[in-house]
Amino acid sequence: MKGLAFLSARPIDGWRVFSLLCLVGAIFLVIVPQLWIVVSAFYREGGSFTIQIRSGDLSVVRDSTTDFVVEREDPDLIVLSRGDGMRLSIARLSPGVSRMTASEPLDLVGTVTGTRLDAKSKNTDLRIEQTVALNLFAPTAPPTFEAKQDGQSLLLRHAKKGFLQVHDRAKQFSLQNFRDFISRKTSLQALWNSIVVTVLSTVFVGVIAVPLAWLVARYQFRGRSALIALITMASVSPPFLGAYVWRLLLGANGLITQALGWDWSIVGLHGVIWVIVWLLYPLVFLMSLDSFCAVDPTLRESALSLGASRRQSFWTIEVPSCLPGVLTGLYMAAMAAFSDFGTPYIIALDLVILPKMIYTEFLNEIGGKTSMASTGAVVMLVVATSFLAMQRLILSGRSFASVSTRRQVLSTPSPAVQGGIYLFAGTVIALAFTPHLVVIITSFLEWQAGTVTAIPTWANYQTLLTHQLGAVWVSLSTAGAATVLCVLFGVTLSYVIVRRSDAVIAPLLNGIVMTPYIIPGTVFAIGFILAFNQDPLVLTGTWFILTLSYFVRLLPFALKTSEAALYQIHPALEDAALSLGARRFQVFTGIVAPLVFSGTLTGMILVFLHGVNELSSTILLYRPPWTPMAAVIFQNTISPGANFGYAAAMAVLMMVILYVPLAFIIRRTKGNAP
Amino acid sequence: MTGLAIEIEDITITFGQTTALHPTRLCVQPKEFLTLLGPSGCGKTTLLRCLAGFIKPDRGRVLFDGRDVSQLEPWARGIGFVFQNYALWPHKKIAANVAYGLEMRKEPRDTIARKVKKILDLVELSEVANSYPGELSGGMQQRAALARALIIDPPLLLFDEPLSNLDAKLRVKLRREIRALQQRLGLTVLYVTHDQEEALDISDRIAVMRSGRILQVGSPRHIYQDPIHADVADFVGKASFLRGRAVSAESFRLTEGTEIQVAMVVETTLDNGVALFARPEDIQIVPHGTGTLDGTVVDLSYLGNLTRYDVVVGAQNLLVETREQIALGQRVGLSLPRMRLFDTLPPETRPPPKLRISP
Repeated sequence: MKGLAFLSARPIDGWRVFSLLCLVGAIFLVIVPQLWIVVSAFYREGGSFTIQIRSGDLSVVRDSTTDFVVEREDPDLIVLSRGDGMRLSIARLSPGVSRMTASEPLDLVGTVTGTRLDAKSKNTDLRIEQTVALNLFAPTAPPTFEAKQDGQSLLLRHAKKGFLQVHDRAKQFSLQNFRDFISRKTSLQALWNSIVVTVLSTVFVGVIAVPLAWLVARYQFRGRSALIALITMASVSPPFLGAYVWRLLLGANGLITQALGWDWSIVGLHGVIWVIVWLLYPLVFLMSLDSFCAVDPTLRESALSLGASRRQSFWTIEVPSCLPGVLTGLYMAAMAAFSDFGTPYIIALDLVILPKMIYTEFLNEIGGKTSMASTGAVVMLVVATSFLAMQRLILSGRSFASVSTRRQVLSTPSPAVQGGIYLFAGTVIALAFTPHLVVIITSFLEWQAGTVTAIPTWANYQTLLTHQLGAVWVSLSTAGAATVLCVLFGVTLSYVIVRRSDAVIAPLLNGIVMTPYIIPGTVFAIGFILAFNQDPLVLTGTWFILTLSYFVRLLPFALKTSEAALYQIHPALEDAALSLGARRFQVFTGIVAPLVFSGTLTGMILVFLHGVNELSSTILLYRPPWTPMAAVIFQNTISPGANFGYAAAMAVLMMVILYVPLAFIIRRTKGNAP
Repeated sequence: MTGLAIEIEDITITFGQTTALHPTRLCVQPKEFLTLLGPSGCGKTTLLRCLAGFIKPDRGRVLFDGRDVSQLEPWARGIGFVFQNYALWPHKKIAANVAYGLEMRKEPRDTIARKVKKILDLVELSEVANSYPGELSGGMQQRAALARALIIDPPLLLFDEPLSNLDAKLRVKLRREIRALQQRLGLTVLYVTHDQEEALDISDRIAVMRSGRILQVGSPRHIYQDPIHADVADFVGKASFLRGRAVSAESFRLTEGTEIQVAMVVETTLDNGVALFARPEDIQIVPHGTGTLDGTVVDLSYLGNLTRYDVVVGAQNLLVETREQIALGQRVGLSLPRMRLFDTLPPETRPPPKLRISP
């Protein structure tokens, strides 16, 4: 009774309960999948081998052993040993009967169910399966497979012709996966390629985007706002579009390469970098433009009035105050380049690169062990975290540029500068939109045997409308549902974190919810699959796992947008409602939520667009019939000889879906655009 | 509804390590207009927010008409609050802003409409009922905020520096309007400001605060003419101080060593008396050598009706306000009125400014 009295004395704070529930949810959706990856990378099953029985004689199937070493291989006795000292022997007693002995007592578990049996010892958890080659003329009765405990060993009665697969399922902590990773040439090559692509793409993106942003931030010229709008459009292009079109144009059998008879093609690391640069420069451009425009002009003017030259004030005042925004943009570009899965996959089939390697490892191993994919995922996580650490280190102690009270006054460029701007911007825009134009054109052309012809047709769109509307529905419904969840939780969580701050829960919640921001999509997807593909919660391959993954991956973005909107709302607005008789919940629903929502509309539309665009986690998570558009287009671009026609039509439809809301955003923000 | 009586009993409020309000007592009479006056960070807004229920006191009680409301949530107190930045909700029209308090009280729709119309007429905002707050001028927004607070018919109205964002002329006009409204509706008002002129103009009584304490409570006249604390004297109006030590009831030795004969109002024991105070307009300038003290005019500012002179006496300087015209650098005599003796030094002891070059 005393405990209950304590409860009733303290009113239960609804927000506290809510934030605790959210914390549990966040741990479940963010931490648990990542832990699964780590566990499956560090815990390794104990190895396996297969024994062939041919007219009663035993032999070990070549290349079937993992972790076990064959010590002795006679027709009547096979001995294998393992690094930890474990030793297994199978001795033939008579054709069809063998004795299995281990270096430690072996116990039969459960009963034999047709073709498999389980046995346990101190260090092993063996599963022994018998497979018998089907003989069309043999009787259909299942071959005998029985076991009997005999002292500390097992007596097996098995077929006289077939295979015995022995697989130790006991997991043990081991660094073997990482040793394998380091010793395999391909995985090191993949790591190296990933880093090369990331670093070079980021450098080139910086070289293109930052000067252009600076020119746009400082000069007034005709078409300036159109240029900003176009680059904003380019920032939400479907990610694999560029890769496919550039391969179509400049690949080994590309339209341009063939027409010009070149010996050169885009297939290779250089092509991946080329495509990624045109994919990512809009992001860095927009971030840099924002921070260039946010520099208070009086900072520069005061430097000039104190005797600094234009050049000196540029390097000592403007550059340092813009640096945080530019560096954050470059960091985001580097992360996107590092995680990009579609581009390398489409450009070069035989190129090894981390996300692609993990993807193929994972697909190869599905149903078996996923340790190699998990190991690659852990390596990716480590690299991503060190990128973050580097960014934090460089930015530490630098605050973000203050929002200026005065607008930058744009200067009119001299004709030479203006010509330079047009040439620069024109080239950049043309290259960024080449994929869009080519896809629009090819969507109206007929495809034959995987190559485009010059015959105009509507058939692609007819196929799209009759057969592929399901994919459109899957994309819209999953991204839409994820956006709704992001709005709900973005607004409420930012409120919990900013206003009803709790010394422990709020920072913890913030940290966990923000974590997916740095997890590459492929890694994220593997974590989700590992965590949600077994009882009690089987989600893999469903509509829900797509929605849930978009939600968790985009929530960091929604949360930051909501927080920014919330900081714009003066706390007095809430106090005013409280003093007029509103309860805290009414204040939230009637005052805070509508204001935050209207402040985050733009951000939430972007969340939706990113959901529609997502590929790197989608490609691992989706299973038919829940195939989103991105996956359909992607599958068509990588299957040789596929009819890309209707995929092109779908890409055009996707562009419409992306650019119509974006046009709304651009119009909406035009009033206060830089 | 008639005004509410407030008793504040030893309220203490701390934020982490800092004490925002030391134990504070204050009684406000029904229908009284009481102003909390003090520099920023003195705890006046904290005290006001505590009355509204936004902050709960660590110790002490707040009584409304004898009823303890210290732990009551803000929504249950039924008092009006007008914010410095108006706090009008930008997503609601003016009429909806004003109607909010009645909606929370679940009043019938037609009653709400009638009351909103009446109150908007009262503050002369009927024409902008369907506008959004962002479309209104600062003064109109302030009146809308006032209407929103008044509509719930509060017996107590709290103002948190409501006029500080407005220009000077509008400020004077609106504060007279607020005062007239308070008189007409018979409300109890607690009004926070750092503008001493506003406080003197509008209040029945003023409570001067500094560093989380109420230093003095009294009528505007009382506060101006008879401050009982050097801080109060310094914050309200202009003040002239002489630093030194009281020797006897008629004699004061300046820090430089000169002893002067002066009539004193003694609030403290003579042993503690370290500063003499007078208002600048009460000190007279007389020919050199004929006053209690001699000094040199080092600075002047022309105020229109008066001229304020900065006179250096030894190592100290005194402000003197008079209609007489005296040139910079001239040596003058000063005739001191009855001065008040304080046991604390004036908060800001300014170094004497350099001799200014006359134009």
